[in-house]
Amino acid sequence: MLNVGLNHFLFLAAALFSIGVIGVLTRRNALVIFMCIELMLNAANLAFIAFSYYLNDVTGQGFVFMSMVVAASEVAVGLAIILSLFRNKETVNVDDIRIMKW
Amino acid sequence: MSALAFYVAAGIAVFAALMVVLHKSPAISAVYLVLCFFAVAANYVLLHAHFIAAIQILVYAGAIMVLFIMVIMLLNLDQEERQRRKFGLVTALSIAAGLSVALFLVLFTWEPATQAVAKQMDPLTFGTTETVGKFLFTDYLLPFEIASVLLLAAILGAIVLSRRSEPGPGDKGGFDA
Repeated sequence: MLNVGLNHFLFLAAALFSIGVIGVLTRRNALVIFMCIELMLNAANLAFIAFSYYLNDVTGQGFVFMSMVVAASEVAVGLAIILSLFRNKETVNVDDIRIMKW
Repeated sequence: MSALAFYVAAGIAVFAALMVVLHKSPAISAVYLVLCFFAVAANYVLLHAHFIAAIQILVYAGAIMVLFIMVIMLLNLDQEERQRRKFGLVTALSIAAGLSVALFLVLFTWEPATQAVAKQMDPLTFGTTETVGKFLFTDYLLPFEIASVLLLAAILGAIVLSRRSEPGPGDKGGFDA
């Protein structure tokens, strides 16, 4: 039996999520921003799994499965976008990519 | 015993996450992200989510990180990240600090989180592939099938976006990236 509480896991999830937010807001490299988004998705997944364990309900694990599917497709398409951006602009710095801004 | 395992895994996860954000080189960040995913997978095992832990390592630490590292290799990023930004470091850090303070305050004061005890469950079946599989193929069959369509769309989207179209006789131009 686990002798740490639900709040321990929620604290860990909150910490990982906050670190991800810091990364998204401070880093300028599109790839690292992407990695930080993955970090935040992982934090949410961890919260789902923790609730699933403490409520004794497997639904949370099913949701995490779906969220991983979405994360995988998001990474595939997002990295393809970054790749084509790099072909056009020779940079992945988000400050230099402002063609949609007027 | 499981408390020690939790603290070790959580410490590794937070350290690796911090290194992802703080390290200058994207390649090293990617490696630390793999470490973070493994530590989170260890937490899943502690929470009896064995199937999800295996999927975490296969999909995240395997497939997604290979994609990241391939793209880093393709982009050949050796120039320094320039620190020119309109959105200041102070603003970013204070937004993040405000968010974490809010999250932690909620967790400290929220009764169910501080008092939750695990309900009685069968440790032999909870979170196994069989349980999760039955769940996915009965109650949530439609979302499961939609997920496969989403993956197909992502495969096609990635191919269309990243292909380099070469001008040729049969080429109508199309999505030239």
